[in-house]
Amino acid sequence: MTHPLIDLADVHLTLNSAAGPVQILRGANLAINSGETAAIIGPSGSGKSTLLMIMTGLEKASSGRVQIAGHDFMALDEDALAKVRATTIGIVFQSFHLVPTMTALENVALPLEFADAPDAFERARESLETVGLGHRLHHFPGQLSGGEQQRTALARALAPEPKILFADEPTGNLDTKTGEQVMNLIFDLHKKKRTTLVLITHDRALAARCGRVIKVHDGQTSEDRAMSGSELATA
Amino acid sequence: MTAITGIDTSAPKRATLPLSLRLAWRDLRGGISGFYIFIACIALGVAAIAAVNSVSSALENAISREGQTLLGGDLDVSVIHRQGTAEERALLAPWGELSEIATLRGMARREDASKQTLVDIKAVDGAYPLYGTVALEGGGSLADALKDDGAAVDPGLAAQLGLKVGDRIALGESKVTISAIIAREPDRMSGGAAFGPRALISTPTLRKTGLDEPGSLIRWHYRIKLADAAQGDEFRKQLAKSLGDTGFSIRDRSDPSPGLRRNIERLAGFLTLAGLAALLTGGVGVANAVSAFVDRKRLVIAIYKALGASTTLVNKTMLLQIGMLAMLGVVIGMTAGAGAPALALWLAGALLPVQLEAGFQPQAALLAAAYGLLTALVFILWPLGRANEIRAAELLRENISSQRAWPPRNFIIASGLSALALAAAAIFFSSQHLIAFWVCVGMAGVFALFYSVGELIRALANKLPRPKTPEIAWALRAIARPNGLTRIVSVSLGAGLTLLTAISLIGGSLTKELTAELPDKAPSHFFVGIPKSDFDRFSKLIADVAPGSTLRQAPMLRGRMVNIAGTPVDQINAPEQAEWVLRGDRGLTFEENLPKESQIIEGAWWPKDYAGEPLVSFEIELARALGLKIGDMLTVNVLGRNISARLANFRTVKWESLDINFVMIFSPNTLKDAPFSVLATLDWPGERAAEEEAKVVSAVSEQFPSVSAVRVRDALETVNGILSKVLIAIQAAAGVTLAAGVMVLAGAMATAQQRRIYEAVVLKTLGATRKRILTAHLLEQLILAVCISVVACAIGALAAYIIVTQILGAPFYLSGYKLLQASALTTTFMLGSGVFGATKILRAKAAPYLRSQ
Repeated sequence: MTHPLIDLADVHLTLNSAAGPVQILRGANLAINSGETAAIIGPSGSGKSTLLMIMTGLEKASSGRVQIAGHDFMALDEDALAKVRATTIGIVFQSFHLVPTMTALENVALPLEFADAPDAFERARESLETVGLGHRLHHFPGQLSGGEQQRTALARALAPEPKILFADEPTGNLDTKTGEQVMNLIFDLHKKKRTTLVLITHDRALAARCGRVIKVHDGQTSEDRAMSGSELATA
Repeated sequence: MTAITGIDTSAPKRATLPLSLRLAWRDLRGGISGFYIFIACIALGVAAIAAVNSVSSALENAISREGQTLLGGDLDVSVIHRQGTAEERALLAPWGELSEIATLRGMARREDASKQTLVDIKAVDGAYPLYGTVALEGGGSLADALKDDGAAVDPGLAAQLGLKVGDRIALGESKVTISAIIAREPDRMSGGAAFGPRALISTPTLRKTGLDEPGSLIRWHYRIKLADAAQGDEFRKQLAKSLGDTGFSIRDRSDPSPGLRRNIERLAGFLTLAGLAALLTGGVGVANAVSAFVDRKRLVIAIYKALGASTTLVNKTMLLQIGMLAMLGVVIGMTAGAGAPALALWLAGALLPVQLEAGFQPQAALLAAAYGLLTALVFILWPLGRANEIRAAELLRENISSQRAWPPRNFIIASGLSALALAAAAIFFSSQHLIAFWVCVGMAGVFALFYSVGELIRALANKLPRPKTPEIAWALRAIARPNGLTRIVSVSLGAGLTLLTAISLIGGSLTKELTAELPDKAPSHFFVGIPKSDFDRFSKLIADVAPGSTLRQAPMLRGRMVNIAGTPVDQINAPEQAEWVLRGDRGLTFEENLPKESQIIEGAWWPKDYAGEPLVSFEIELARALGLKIGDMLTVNVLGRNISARLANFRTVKWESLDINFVMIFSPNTLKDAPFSVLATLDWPGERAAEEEAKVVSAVSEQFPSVSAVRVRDALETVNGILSKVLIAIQAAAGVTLAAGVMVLAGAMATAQQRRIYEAVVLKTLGATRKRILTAHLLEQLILAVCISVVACAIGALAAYIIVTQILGAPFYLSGYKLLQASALTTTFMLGSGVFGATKILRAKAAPYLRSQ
């Protein structure tokens, strides 16, 4: 039996706030195999973004098991987690999060440079060409449209050829048409590269395009199975 | 490494640089907005230090370069009270060309005796000057000017006596003709501080004046222009050996004016410390700018971390980026400071005693750069360390904590080590290590104090019951805000204000002490060089022309300290405050009785008609500084003869009484047979017109031409003139500190501007008028300025009081004007900047700001 690429078991996260400790995750469980597409859905404050942070190593769980691509995230320090991210994980954010003082090429080359890849710029160019931005290599983010910025972010996330691509509301800051183009691109690239895709979204139609839908409610993963369109409508 | 072709031609080149440097450089391409104050703060302090040290280095270089000319020869061998013997001169002659000159002070009088003044006389032979030339107004040679009892004089002498070329003046017992006005005297500086204008005469003319009689305060110089300049050191060694204890002092061209060099070093040292204070104040602005930078870069840092950058890489990148900007500030400061000698040359080239070279002074620039970079490190590391707290998760979570946490331990240690290195450099490079140490401690204390004052003001504003007037309440709320301007105003302006207030009050006290209020029992005149055989006649004259006055007198000789308790003085490492006692000639006297104002602290005064072993009394403070013990043997060289005496007692001396005071008083049997002259003071109680006092001087100089008369008030005014100039330089340096503080504050205000605009917009939305917002804004500035000023004035006054009374030993005068002038300036600035800032705040339209929040 193959081990899931993403393996979360009884994950708890408690954060301290001025009002006292707040339990954000209360025993979340999740297992996603290599090559799958999974949507994580849930109302605001349900803990879905926190779950993404745990899976990407941006946040450390208070307790539980977090195994990502064979790495025990609970045992790694911040710098070791950063190394894993540079080589294994790609993230696309809702707000793109491009470095404004760097060109599209430099932005895309960043994770490759962090991973000490000797051909960082060549691969970055290829990645940008893959998302259709071969003509925008030396443009700064401010000179790109929202859709172009998100495609640059996607190129950046995919340039190191990660095993997993996490996308957090990738169309949230885009108009419907551009959002659809970006999502088509994400799914096309998934098909082409067989990258495991984890999508955080409010958009039920978008979730329906994924093989699996995981619902998060009150810090727990309450469902973990493939959902039909009607089920999604009521989720 | 794989070459990347077809993407960016510069890519392979960039790839050869470390990643941190590449990232830093990429970010800097976006411009340096937000760093202008950062750069200016470093540049200002570095420029101040570079300017001071460049000018002093240029001066010292010029003095070294022109050493021969300034000294008047390759070597200057001099002795006081007597002319060199034929044997002594024979020791010098074989080494090169020899010139003999005599320097002394005397009174120059108009022929009609209506005016007289103290002059510095220099009698020269035909070989003078061995180096350089004496330039005379209107041309002509010195030799021509000095023949037939001619005198070349300073323009000041002619002006003071109201005379011109061709007029005659009485000098000693003869008369000389003003034959020329001196335009430039090459070796002017070698004689030390001048007490009067110069009169250049020939040696035969000096003989005619009778001012060279035995026992008079005349110094004979023998200058040699070496036939072989390379033999200078050898000659000096041999000469020192052959002249032995004959009382000669030897100076060479490497240090033609030790007094001037020391003064330049000291002033440069003080001004450098003041520049350092400016740099430290600017450091607050540096820290603020770095904090703001870290805040601005939170997102980018989080992106880097999310994409796999290690914390070390992020730290390196940020440090490099800030370091490059700090270096830019240092380079700007160095460049500006390096131009100072050129500016000095342009402004005061004609007044300088040497030909200043406006070239680059690398040592001065490097010293300033080192100070700048160390200061930058101290203030950069701490706020930069906070970047460590930024986590990649901030990209996904909006509730980013803006709370200030402590930076990681290695940043705290590095910051502390940089501070220690800065203090160590300041102490090491200062010519006065102890003072530099206390200045460093003082600066650290002042910054810590004003940080606490800021916190205290904030806490008080927080605790006060809410005033009924909303504008006052808003102002107090703004002052109490945790991340408001209170602390920054306190720290940035406090140090500069305290420094300026203290300097202003110290200067005021000294000036008043020197000019306005002479001590009640201070003498009105000093008379130097009264022949002992003529003293009775002199007393009678004074009784006639100054009825009701008292004449005090003391025998006076000049002598040089040679040996203390078996150790030659040149092997004694004396502390700075006592070094002068061992250097050069000192006035010596002998007394049967303990002076009235003195007290014996240790040991005992000699009995009346004492005839035993020679004894000496020493001033207590200097004795302690030199580590003397009762019973030590002291040897002084008087008129070429070594005289030893046993240390019998330590006594107090009231220097501030301005009466006749000597460091050393010998038992009469030690010196009474030496050819001494008499030093007298005239105590003349009550107020008199200047003309009345001038009559006394006139009568003395007419009947005792060899006696130099010094009006105490005139002498003090001369000292005061020098002091005022020094104070202006120190005040200017302290002003730079305040300017740095103002810049820091301007930077902090600019950073806070956006938040203030948003607050004003909210208040306007809720119905506040612009007038009410402006009033609240100005009240906040006013309250802060007044609070900081009150504390700065109090601390500045306290520091001035301690320095004036305890260190300088002078009475302290609290001048309201001097106390408040810096504070008034600061309050005006605060209000002015408040109005300026408020106009932008009030002009802001509400809608865009509300939409963006």
